[in-house]
Amino acid sequence: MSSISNDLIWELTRNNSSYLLKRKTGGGVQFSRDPLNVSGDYSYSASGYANEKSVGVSLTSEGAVVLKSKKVGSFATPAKSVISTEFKPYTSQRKVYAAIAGVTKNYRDDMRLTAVKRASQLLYSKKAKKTFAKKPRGKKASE
Amino acid sequence: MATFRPQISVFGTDGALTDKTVALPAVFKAPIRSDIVHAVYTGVAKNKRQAYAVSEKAGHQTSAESWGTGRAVARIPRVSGGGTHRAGQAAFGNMCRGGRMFAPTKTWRKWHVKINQNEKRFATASAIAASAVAPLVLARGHRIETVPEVPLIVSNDVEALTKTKDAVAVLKAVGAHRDVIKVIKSRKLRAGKGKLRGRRYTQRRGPLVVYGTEGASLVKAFRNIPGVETAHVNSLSVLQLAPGGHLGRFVIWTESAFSLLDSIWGSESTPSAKSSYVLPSNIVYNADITRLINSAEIQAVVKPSGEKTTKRTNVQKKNPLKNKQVLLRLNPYAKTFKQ
Repeated sequence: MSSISNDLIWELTRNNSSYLLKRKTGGGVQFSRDPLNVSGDYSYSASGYANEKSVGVSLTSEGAVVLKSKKVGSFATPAKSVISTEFKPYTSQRKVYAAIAGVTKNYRDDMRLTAVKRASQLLYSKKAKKTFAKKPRGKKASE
Repeated sequence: MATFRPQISVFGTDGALTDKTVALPAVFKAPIRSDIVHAVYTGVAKNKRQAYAVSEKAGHQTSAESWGTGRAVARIPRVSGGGTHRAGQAAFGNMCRGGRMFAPTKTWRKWHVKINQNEKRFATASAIAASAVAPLVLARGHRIETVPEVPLIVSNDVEALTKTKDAVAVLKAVGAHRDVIKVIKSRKLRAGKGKLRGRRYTQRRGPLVVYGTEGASLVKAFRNIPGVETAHVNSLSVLQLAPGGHLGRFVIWTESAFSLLDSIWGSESTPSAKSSYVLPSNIVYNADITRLINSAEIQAVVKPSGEKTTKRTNVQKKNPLKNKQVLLRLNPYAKTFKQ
């Protein structure tokens, strides 16, 4: 339906939208909460809703990576517009990255690296951090 | 674009597709102008205010007079008499304890704002058009991820609903209940004095159900669902279509309401019910900048892109006054000049 162009959609929402996250710190950084935005930048090219093609990478509460991509020409049917793939939590990371790279290839080549990077960071974030016992030094070591 | 009239499907109360389709009314082609909607909203939102003011007498219920000069105190009026602490205290001024405020508020303030009728209509048409653009509805914050189609049209059976239970069931069936859940979760205690003044909680706005039959029972069925509002097609305003002046309210139309839109706003074939009203038209036929730039017409006249130059960064700045080679690069005559 939308005879309205993506450029217009972006112009209407660039200053204010539910996805926009503004901080006064850091020189007034602007981030995006858009689930179909892999870079997190609040920009036209990165936005999920103002582009015909966009990808999203997120993590479920169980720690599984979810890859989302938009179906072209489906703006009028929101329920059918997003293709979602959930990887099993035990899927090897390389396979997850390969799948993300495969989906973004010839689809959003500019977001390919960012999408893989995001998946990598998300998987890294759920990894249990190794803790080491503090080695006693000096006086404490001799006790 | 005038001939482009897509068909919108109608969903039943069970959320299943019915075999009916409705042509997209012409209002949905109206230009989407957030500036007009915002300006009209800020004006219209002021028209429901109630007058308030401080008491006319406040701060003036004393017979204070200035002591004049020569008593080593400020010349502000002072309360006369003795035998109480109040005597001799400064009065009246906005800087005084117990004095009146600066420029006391009056009930005859200009509470209402007049907005031109055509501007109001433009804003409403614009807001209706924006409600049919899924990305704008999403960007406004409505959870329409499970909604089968935008604009969403439900069958006329919804207008006859009397029970809230059934109304909720319909919302669930058409995937609109996620937006209601968002509203329920968003309910928070209001910051500030509004809590004491009958506005205890704040919450988001949910779907707007637009119906076409005067006095339909759905108003009662839907009125106790958090965030859900109902409106008749004839009385649509920016207050409900663009709350806060933000375009893209999630609207659920009943079939009768949707099919009335053309007679209310007019189209190429039907005149508008509003006296000699014509819908605003788009100034730009095609707002797709990427397509415009890449069009054959534009590409035929633009200059071919030049050779790519790479900017050398992280290079040490050489002083041409000391470095002969750099000097020659900047000024080839220097060689002859030196000889």
